[in-house]
Amino acid sequence: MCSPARNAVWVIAPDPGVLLRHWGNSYVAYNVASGDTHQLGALAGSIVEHLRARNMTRFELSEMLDSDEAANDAQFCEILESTLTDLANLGLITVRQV
Amino acid sequence: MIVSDYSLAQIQRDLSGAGLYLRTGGFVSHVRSDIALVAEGIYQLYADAPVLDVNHFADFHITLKRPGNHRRWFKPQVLFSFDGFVPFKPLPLAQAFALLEWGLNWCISTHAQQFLIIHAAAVEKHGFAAILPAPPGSGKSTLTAGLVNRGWRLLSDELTLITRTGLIQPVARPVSLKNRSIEVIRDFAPDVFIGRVVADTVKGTVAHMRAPADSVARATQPARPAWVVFPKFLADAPAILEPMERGHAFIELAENAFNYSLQGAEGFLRLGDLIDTTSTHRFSYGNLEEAVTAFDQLAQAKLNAPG
Repeated sequence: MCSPARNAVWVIAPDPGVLLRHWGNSYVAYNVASGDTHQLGALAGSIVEHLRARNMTRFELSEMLDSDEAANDAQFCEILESTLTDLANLGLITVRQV
Repeated sequence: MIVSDYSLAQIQRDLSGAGLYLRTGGFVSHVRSDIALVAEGIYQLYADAPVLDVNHFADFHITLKRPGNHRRWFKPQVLFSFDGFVPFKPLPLAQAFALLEWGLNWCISTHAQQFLIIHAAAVEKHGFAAILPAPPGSGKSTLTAGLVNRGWRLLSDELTLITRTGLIQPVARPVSLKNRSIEVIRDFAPDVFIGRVVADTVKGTVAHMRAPADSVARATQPARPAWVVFPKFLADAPAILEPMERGHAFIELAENAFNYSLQGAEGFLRLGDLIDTTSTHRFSYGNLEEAVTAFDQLAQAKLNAPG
């Protein structure tokens, strides 16, 4: 399952936030606080896009990003986890305990 | 009045006195110099540029003069100054006109912050403009010179200026040719005017090609970007135009922009709008005629496209 950390909610970087543009699966994100621009893959771009709309747990994200089966797929969950960590390291998203 | 309405002696006199007020696209440069090579370069390479009245508002006040150091006796030099500020070390006197050109580029890239400034050439045909960003050695200026000698309008050879409304502000000035491209363009367009060839500059051997008169006359008419094309010269390679992922094009454009970071979020949005409204490509070529044909086909297809 993609939802072992039930209390963790992923949120977009706090104000001034993140700007995002995409063309198909080709994404670029701008971290307004740092002034850094990042080219993102399809999964990372989609995560930022969803989190700009609202805060989500990892399980909610996995549901939004793919089917229920994917949410139960260990490999997908691993990639999702790794992508969330990468995005957090870039300062584009952060995790909040609730 | 344009430069060619004057004699070389008049241009030289003006430059040595109150200075020459020269309109280059959206900018007015007030140039003063008593160096004959500067007068000659302006007379030959800015022949179609409008000359404005003395004391007209000028964006840039530029002086090119010989520094008063001991070298003037055995190795004469030229010094560029902007509003009294000297941004570069002096160069050999033979490079005086090239220094004016490089200095003007510096003036624009450091002061015209109302634009998103991309290190790129830009050309236009049928109302559609192509932006050609590329590092030195990619054949950008050769391709630009080839296109503008086959009916494309020169918007810029070196600095593409994107306005807040997403248009390209022309800066039709001489095209800088380097090394082998000088002879390539002489063969490709025998009637074109190319100024003095100057060897041993920091960029190798350089010469400047006069901008087409029509491009200079239309230098206040902005153009709408339609393509972003990253060119690459590959000896003997066929002309190949390939789609480029837009996100990647965005990043490469940002890397080629002088003031993207300075513009912050607005730069991101402006560049995003540019990518939204253009198609993005990589282009490799080894023959200039083939390259021009490929660009002509691109422009024709755009012209024929519905909507």
